[in-house]
Amino acid sequence: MRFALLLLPVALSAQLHYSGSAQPAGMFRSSDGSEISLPFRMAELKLGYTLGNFDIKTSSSLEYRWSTGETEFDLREAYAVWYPRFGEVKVGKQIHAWGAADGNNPTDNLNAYDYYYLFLPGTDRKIGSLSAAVSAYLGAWQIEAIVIPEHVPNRYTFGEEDFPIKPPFEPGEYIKVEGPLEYGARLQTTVGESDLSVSYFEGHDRGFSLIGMNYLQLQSVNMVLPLPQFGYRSTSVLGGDFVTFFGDLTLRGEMGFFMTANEANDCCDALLPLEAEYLQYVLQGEVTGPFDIQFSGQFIGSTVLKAEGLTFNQVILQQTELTKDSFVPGMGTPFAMFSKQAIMLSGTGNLMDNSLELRATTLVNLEEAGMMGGFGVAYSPLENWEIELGLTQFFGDEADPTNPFTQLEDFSHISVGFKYSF
Amino acid sequence: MLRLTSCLLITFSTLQPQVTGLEIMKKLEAQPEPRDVVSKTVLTLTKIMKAKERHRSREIMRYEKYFSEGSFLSKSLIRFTKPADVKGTALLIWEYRKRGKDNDQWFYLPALKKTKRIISNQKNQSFMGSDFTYQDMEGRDIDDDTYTILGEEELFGETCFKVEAKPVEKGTYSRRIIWVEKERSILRKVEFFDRKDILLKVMTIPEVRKDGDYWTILKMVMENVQKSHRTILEVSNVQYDIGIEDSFFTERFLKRER
Repeated sequence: MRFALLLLPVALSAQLHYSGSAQPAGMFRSSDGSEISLPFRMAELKLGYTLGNFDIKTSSSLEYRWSTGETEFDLREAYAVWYPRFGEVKVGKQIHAWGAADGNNPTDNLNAYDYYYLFLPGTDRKIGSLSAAVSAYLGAWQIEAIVIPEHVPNRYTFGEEDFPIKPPFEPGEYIKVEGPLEYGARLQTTVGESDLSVSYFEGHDRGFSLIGMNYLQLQSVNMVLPLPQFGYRSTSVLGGDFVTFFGDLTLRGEMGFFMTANEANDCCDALLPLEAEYLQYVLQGEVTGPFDIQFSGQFIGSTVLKAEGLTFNQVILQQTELTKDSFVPGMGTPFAMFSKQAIMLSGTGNLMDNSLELRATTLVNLEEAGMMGGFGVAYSPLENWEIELGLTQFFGDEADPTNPFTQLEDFSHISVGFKYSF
Repeated sequence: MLRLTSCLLITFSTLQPQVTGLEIMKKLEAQPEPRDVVSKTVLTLTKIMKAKERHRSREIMRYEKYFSEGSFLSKSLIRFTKPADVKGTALLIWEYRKRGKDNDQWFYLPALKKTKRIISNQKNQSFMGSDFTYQDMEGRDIDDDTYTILGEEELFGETCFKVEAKPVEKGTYSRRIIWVEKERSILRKVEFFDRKDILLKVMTIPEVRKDGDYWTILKMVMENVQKSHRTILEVSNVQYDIGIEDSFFTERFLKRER
């Protein structure tokens, strides 16, 4: 009885909270109306439990594919948070968010990307990783330090004929990352009307690349067969971002300076030495126009500053010098796979007493032909219910089949769905 | 500092005859404030279309702390608890004592796991689809307006002073007409006029209650007469002076969804 009485106050102060949604949806090619067979998150559930200064949080989803009826449960996050006086401490599988810009964040490399959900906003397209994070708030200063004891790579859409954005082949195996410990820190402060941040991250690429070669001696034909070995480069990122205001304009900027190298290890018969440096940057402007329409424009760019070392040319089956053009970044915003320089413009407006939301987005490649246009409508006839309709159209260059926008043309689609939130 | 919409409290006072508009406002201003207040508020948004009315509701928890000295006048944290699609969204407002210094506002969006600082010019925008603007949620400095008594009027069974407030500098509204109870100095109605001096919004406070030393607004109605839209704000579970720490009004707690 005494035990039960002691427990009672604890039970009373604890809180279970939940939210989630069910959101069946479908995608159909705008060219011929055929279904695009890809999995999507049919249902999502966030569960939380608060006990004094402690929270336990989970986020899970149920993935479903119409064409095969396959379902897959995904525990996307499960972590504990402690709120001491100085800030917060989080431990477990979690998704982090760094950076000032919306959507394209060169400084945000803590989590891998799920390419099945590449076009979703925010944390929806990231993969949680086991990590520990400590944040401290000291007046106008905030500091966050993160340790990730495991390496989580991007989830690519290998084998998906209906999704064109993926590496050209799937390696049979990957070289194991030695010493997978990753860590980073971010310092933020406010100066006048501006927020400024600097960050540093030390980890391994999220996308795989060529690390070395194995040579298989075929004695029967007196030949040596070169076998490329793939893995994840060691990469450091020095980042900075800011938010400031000029009259009605909000300006957000972000830049990441990446230093990457193939690690010397005994992975293969011959390690391909590689050292490279590259920049990714985003400048974003936001303004509210007539009828409360939110306009946003982003200039997104990336440039390879240095690429030295060797690579393997699979056509001539020989090692060749790495060049800036042949170097492919393995970390940073996924946008870099589409274009080296681009402008993204978007507008969002609400009608019918905020029950109808209209969205328009366009991404224009500034380096070569290619653009994306998107239009979306979300209508909420009843509270917690929403019907969504979207059109995404890609325009490439017929003369250049290697242009990513050309490859994406067949992915142009109409999406239809509804969402019930609880 | 006059908080027309954000304050949940107006204390008793007796106004002397032959007072000026400024004095009426100063009486309102001079009422004792609690150190802090926590309340649950239900906002019912109503679109009026011919004979039909369409309702939507939002539920928020509001935490406020007032400062009698130092850099800040007040800090508040507003967290949405309903409906489900905005649950966890939160707004943090720091209101400064220094005249002319814009307030700081941050928005936390759980879907992005990010806190976004909001530009001060966005304060004229609607607060989450309601008829209140961000600026309405903050309040207004008493010295930002000049005041003229227009007369007296009966409202909710009480005699009220009718005071016109005109901004010293051009603002969101060209003027406001404010009804203040003559005997108890309680705010009961405000009419807001747009920049073309056409009536834009009418705010009424039909229900008040005295909780200890403080008056609590239990119900507040803001109607946008130009858009045929109405927001009813109903307050419950009010707690005063519970000793909320200053550190509560930081990004750290803004992000704490529950």
